[in-house]
Amino acid sequence: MNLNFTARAAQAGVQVRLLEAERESLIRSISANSTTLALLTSATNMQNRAKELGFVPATRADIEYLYIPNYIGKQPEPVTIPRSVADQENFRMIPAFTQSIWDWLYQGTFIMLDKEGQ
Amino acid sequence: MRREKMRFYFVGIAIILFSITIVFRLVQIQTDPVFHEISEKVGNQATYKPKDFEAVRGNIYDRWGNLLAGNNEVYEIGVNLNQITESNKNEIVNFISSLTGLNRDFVRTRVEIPYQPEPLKENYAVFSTIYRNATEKMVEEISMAQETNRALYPITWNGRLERTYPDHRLGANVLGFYSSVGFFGVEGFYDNILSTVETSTFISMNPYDVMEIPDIPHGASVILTIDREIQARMEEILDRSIKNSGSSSGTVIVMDPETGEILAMATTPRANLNQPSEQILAEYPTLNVDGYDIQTPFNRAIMQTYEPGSVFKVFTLAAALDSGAVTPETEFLDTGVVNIGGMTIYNWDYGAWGYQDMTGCMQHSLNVCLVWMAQQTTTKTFYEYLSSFNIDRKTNIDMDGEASFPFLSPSNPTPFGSDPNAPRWYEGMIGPHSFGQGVSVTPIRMITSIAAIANDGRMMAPHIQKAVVQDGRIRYYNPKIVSTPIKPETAHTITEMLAVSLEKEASDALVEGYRLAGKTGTAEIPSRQGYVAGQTNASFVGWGPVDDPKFIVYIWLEKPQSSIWSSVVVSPVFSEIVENLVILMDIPPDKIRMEMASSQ
Repeated sequence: MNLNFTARAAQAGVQVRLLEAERESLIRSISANSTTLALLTSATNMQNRAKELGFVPATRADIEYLYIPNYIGKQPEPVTIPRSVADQENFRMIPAFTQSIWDWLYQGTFIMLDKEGQ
Repeated sequence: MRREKMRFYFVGIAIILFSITIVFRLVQIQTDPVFHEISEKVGNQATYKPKDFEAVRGNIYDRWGNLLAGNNEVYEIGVNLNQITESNKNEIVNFISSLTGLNRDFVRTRVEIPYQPEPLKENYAVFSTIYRNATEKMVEEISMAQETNRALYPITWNGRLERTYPDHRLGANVLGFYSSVGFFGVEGFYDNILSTVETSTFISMNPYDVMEIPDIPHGASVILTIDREIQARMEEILDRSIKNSGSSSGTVIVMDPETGEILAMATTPRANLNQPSEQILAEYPTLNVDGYDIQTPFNRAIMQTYEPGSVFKVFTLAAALDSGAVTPETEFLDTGVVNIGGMTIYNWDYGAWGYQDMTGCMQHSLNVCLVWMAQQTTTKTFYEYLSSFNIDRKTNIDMDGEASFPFLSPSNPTPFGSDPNAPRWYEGMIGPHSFGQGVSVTPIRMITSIAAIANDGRMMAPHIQKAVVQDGRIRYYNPKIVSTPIKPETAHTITEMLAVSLEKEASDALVEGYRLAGKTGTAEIPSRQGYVAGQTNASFVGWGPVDDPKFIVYIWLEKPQSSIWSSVVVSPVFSEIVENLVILMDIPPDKIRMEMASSQ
C-alpha cells in the first residue's frame, strides 16, 4: 500500500512539474499571440491593406452627418488581463502527497501523543 | 560433527560481524560530517536546479484598446555544459554557428566554458547561453536536427518574453523604450507599475518534493489617452511639413482642453523601437549647437525648451484683459517703435500700423502694441498672471524627462546666480517677454497654459494615462484642474478675438465650416552672439470649434527654410491637421452641430 501511495505521489509530482512548465509556456504564448495580432493590425499594416483594397482617406466633402438618437459613438475595445494567482482560490496539495513515511510516522505519533495527553 | 559445528559457528560469526560492520558503517555515514557534506552536495546537484521566474511586463494600449507595446516570445539557445564532450563539440559549434550566423570562435568560447555544478562557487556554470533572440523557426530546426543527430542533444533552448512595439516607430517619442528598465516616455515614467520583480530560485527536481512556483503577478497595463489613428496622421503630416519647409525638426501636440488628455504628440526623430537600445539611441545623435554638444531630445515636445515668440502674446492679452487694463475695443496708436529699458523694439515688419483696437494688435501681431499692453497691465500684475499660467514651472506630465528653463521675473531675478555677467531680470525685460522672446519654454508648457483659454479659464493637468488595468480591475485617471488663471468671460473674449483675427486676416489656418481661434508665432533664435539672422522658430496654436472647443493644437517647426514666417509655413499645416481631426474625432461642421442641437 505504501509503495502504491509513493508511486502515486511521484507521478503527481511529475505531473505538477509538467503543468507548471505548460502554464509558463502558455503565458508566454498568450502574450506573443496578442502581440502578433497587434503586429497584423498595426496602423501601418491597416493603412496598407486599406489602400490595397482600394480605400482612400475620407475628406470632409465625402462625409454626410446624420442625427441618430441615442447613438453613443465609438467605444474602446475592452482591455483585460488575467487575475493574479494570489487572487484565485488557493489549491494546495494535501500533505500526504509531499510527506515522506518518516514525516507521516513522526507527525502521526505526535498527534497520537497529543490526543493521549488531553 | 564437532568440526561441522565449528564451521557453522564460523559462518555465523562472519555473518554477524559483516552485519555489525554494515550497521557501523551506516551509523558512521549518518553521523560523520564529511559523509553528510558529500551526500548533500551530490543530492542537491541532482535534485535542485536554478530557475528564473520572469515577470510579464504590462502592455501599453491607446485609448481605443490598440496595443502599442506588448511582449513577444523569443528563445535563448544554449548548451548543457555537462553533456559537452570532445567528440560532439565541433559538430555543435558548426551547427549553432550556421543556424544563428554567429562567429564560430564566439560559439566555441561559449561551448567550452568549464562545467561547474556547485551553485555557490564563483565559476558556477551548468548552462551556457549562446544566442538570445532566436525565433520559433530556429528552435524547430534544432529539434528536427536532433532527431537525426544525437551529437546535437546538448543544445537546448528556453522561451522568454521580449518587449515588442507593433507599430515600430509610431509614437516612439511618447512610448519610450524598454531595455532591462524603461527609458523615456511612458516606459520610463510608469516603469514601476509596468514591471514586477523577477525571481530567481532553486527548484527541487525530486517529484516527492513539489514546491509551489513563486507567484509573480503580471505588471499592470497602461491605457493611454493617445488615439493611434490621430497620432499616425499627425506624424504623417508633420514629416511631410518638415520635408516641404526644409525645417530641421518639428513638433505637433493635440490635446483635449477640457480634460488635459493628450490625443497625439508627434516629434522628430522617431526611432524604430524594435531594435537594441544602442541602435535606438544612435538615432538621437549628439550635435554641436552654438558651441555646445547637445543630444537630440528623445521627445522634443517635453524635453526641449525654446523661445516661442508671438504665440506667447495670448498671455499678455489675457493678463491685460483679465486685469481690466484694456478692453477689446481699446485703441492704440501704433508708431512702429518703442523704447523700453534701453531696448528699441520694432514690429515684425518694422512698419507703423496707426490706430488699432486690441483685436487688430493680435491680428497683425504688433510687438509695439503688446509691449504697451504689458505696461498698461503693470509689471507686477503682468508677471503675476504669467505665474498663474505656470510659465515658470514644469507641467508634471506623466512622461519621463520633462525639461524647464529658469524664467527671469521680479520674483526670480537671478536664477543663474549673482555673477554680474549672468543673465538677470531687469525692468526692461517686460518688453521682449510681452511678445515671447527672452523666455524659454517647452511645447507642452505652452499648450497646457494656452488650453486654459480654450477651457473657460481652467488649466487642466496634461496627462497621457487614461487608465491603469491591474488584476482584472481598471482604474481611470480623474482630470485635475491645476489653476484658474483667468475668468471664464475673459477666456471667451480672447477666443472670440483670436477667431475674428484669423477670419479678418483670411488666414491659411482657416477650415471651411468650422470657426477656429488661433495665433501664429515667429521667433528669432538666440545664440551666444545674439539672435541669429535669417533663422526662426515658427509656431502656431489654435483650437476649435470656438463655441465648444474639442481640441487644441500646438505646432512648432524649427528653422524652416521655405519661409521664415509662421503665417506662411505653419498656418496651412494647422488647417490640414484640423481637416483631419474633425473627421477622426467625428466633429460635424458648426452649422450641422447647431441643427442637431436644436433638433434634440
